[in-house]
Amino acid sequence: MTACFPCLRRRWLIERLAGHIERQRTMVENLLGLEDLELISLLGGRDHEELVRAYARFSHRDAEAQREAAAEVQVALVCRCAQEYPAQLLALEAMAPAVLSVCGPAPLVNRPVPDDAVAIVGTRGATSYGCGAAARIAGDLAAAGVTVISGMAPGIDSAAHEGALAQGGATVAVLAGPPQTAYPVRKTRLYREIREHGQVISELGPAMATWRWALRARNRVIAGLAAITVVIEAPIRSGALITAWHADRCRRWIGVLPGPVGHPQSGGTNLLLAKFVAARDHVEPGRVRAVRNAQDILDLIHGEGIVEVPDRVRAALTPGESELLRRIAAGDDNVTRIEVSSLSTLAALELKGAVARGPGGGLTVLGG
Amino acid sequence: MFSRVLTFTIDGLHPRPVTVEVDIRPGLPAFTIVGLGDAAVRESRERVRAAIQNSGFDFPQQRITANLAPASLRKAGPGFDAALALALLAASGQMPSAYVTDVAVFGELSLNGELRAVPGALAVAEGARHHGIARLIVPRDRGGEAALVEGLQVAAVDGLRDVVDAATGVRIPAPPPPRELTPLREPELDLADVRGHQLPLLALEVAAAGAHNLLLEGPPGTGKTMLARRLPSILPPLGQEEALEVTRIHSIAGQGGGGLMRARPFRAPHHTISAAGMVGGGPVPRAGEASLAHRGVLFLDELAEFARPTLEALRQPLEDGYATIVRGQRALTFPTRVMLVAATNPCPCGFAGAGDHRCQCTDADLLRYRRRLSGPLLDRIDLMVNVQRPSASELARPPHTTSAQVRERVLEARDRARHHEVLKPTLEPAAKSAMRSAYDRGDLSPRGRDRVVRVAQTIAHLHGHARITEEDLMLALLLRQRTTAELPRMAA
Repeated sequence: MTACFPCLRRRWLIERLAGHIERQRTMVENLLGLEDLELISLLGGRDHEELVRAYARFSHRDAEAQREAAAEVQVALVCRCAQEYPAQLLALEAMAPAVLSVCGPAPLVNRPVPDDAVAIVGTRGATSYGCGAAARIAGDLAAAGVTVISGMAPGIDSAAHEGALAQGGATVAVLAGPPQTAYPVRKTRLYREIREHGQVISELGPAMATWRWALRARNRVIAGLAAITVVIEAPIRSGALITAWHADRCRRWIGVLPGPVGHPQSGGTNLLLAKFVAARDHVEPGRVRAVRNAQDILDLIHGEGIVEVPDRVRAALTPGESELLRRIAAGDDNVTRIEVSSLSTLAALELKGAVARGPGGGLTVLGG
Repeated sequence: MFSRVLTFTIDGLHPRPVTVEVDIRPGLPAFTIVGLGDAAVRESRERVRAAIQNSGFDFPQQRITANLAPASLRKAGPGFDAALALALLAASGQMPSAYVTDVAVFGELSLNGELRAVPGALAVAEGARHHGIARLIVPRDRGGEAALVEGLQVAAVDGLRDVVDAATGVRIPAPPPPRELTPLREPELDLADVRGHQLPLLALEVAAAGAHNLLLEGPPGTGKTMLARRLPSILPPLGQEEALEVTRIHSIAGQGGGGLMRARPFRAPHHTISAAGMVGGGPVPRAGEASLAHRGVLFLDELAEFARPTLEALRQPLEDGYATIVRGQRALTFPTRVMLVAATNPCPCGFAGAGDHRCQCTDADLLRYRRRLSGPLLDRIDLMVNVQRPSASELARPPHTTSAQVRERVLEARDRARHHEVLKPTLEPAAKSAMRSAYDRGDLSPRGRDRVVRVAQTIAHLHGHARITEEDLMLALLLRQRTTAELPRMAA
């Protein structure tokens, strides 16, 4: 597993131009689809001459230095000419990242992300509804052996990673910055867990900082890697809708979790469902589907009823517990509505992970 | 001429004897009081002068020096008036000074010679008995309170003339029989007023039976305060000793007084209260709300709004049952054995879990809000229960229960607890395995586990189980307080 000279030169160039890209007002995706020399002439400005010279001077020795620098921090490199490069990413065409930097445990790090992986994305300012749904769906997908991809941001992203990890599943975090450090920093604990049980991927090298444009650019990598992009909760202007838009461009499914109408954090997802508008642009209606749970998602990828979400919870319930679970699902969804004689049954349901209690005593049926 | 009269001052919650000495000698007319008195004591000169003259006695036009001994003890308040006047009359020969040796006087004088009530009569009476005083003279409407102390003759008088008569034994007006000051507040609040709210009622019962602290979580206006106010009605009544203790504290604080407090106190300080207001303090240290709630209920509504230092100050008193205030070289101890009931909204907007989608708080908002409450104070709260709006049909139904029924169960449970005190709580095998799986899920800390077992033990006592059954334990798990770590990832 390695990266070839032209691809490394390409990455070197983008890293060299990072500051120039940050200042641009054009969409970063379009920039990243340009040829090397086009990029230099478009962004170079005053530095144009010097950049052309430096580009010409980039040698095999420089490429080797990059490979060594990556190896030093245990980052594996794979370029788009290599066989281990995830084939589904090539759907991004010219925008496909030249080199992927991957961190992970030894056997996993060289394995390309499977092409039936599911991306779960959404807003940082998620509500408990969104976080609960993200964790639940990710957990069920993981239990069905599906890899969950997300961006490790607070809110939905983290909930998805955590949900998958909790089920012992594989999960992939696509970072905007260097792959060997956690971003954002307060997600360090989550980062370590992902790195231990999954993969952390970035299109930039270990020496880069996290640029704002890169946060937007990595959305295309998330969409490109996944067979379906599921948007859990997103306000009207949300990065998650950019991911959905890229999924559309890669001709992939877009799954959307419907939210309460009028709730700002679900404004973008509901708009996507109603008007097929993602990131202020129209997407193909045929590709957008409302999803309620992991089963809906698996049915979209594999066809109806081919892959089943294993029922982790219900098998272990007594008749009384199942009865109470049905009642909660039917609308008695607050602990204060459960009569005293059933309370210990409710506690058993909580203990078995069939029901979760939220703030205010709201009850949510899990895994259904 | 010289004379001395005994009186008492209150130091924290303790009576301290003070000897009022008066010396009269020829010289330019003057009236000086020494002995570390505050402004009220200095002003006492004017009250004593007017009261003596308006009661038909002569105020000696000589050099008068009064000393409040021990001179090292700071003295505050107008409670020395009566003793000063009596000593002055004795020193000026207007009454035989021989009679003022085994008598103590306590009260403030008005300008026309009436004796006015001063806080702390009960504590003073206890101090008088302790010091072997035969007769205590107090203002009339504190007579009942002072008479709660047995083995002491109490004279309840109206004015300075009566003080002299009572001191010389000419006429000793008997105090009114001790009154029972059952609540000074509203008429008795009863659980029979409550509709719906089955779960909170259960939590109140468990809290009362095991003296567990309780957190009520629910949207505004759903009845958290209403429920908390009814908690004293299901607690066992105060015993004689406890009642005296409570009465003493309240009397000294100038709240209530005049009789015995039989009902458990309920204090609901506003959230702007300072740390000193909560646990006691001030230049002359006074009892705080936690002490005024001693043997009763301290209710903190809107827990998140209380200042951090105030809540932090409550930690040690909640654990130890007393607060020690140190001022200069003195350390004063105030008892604070309270049941803490706290109420809070579930989230910043208050509507989480209300069933509709009114709550628009994000998970980060929730965490931030919870973190404000979080910390060592929550660690001392065993029970947490959600309070939600009762449905229309629940409101129409008759009440579940009355305070009397619940109190009976609480008393039985406490009785059983007393018999079990020495034994460690034992779990039935099924309960043990349930505890295991709950602990293995990782939601419980070791401390949380102990708390669940403690609550389960109380529930077992309520149900009359000798050992903790699985059902008792499940109920305790349901009523446990969730830590901040458990909150995220839970859907509303």
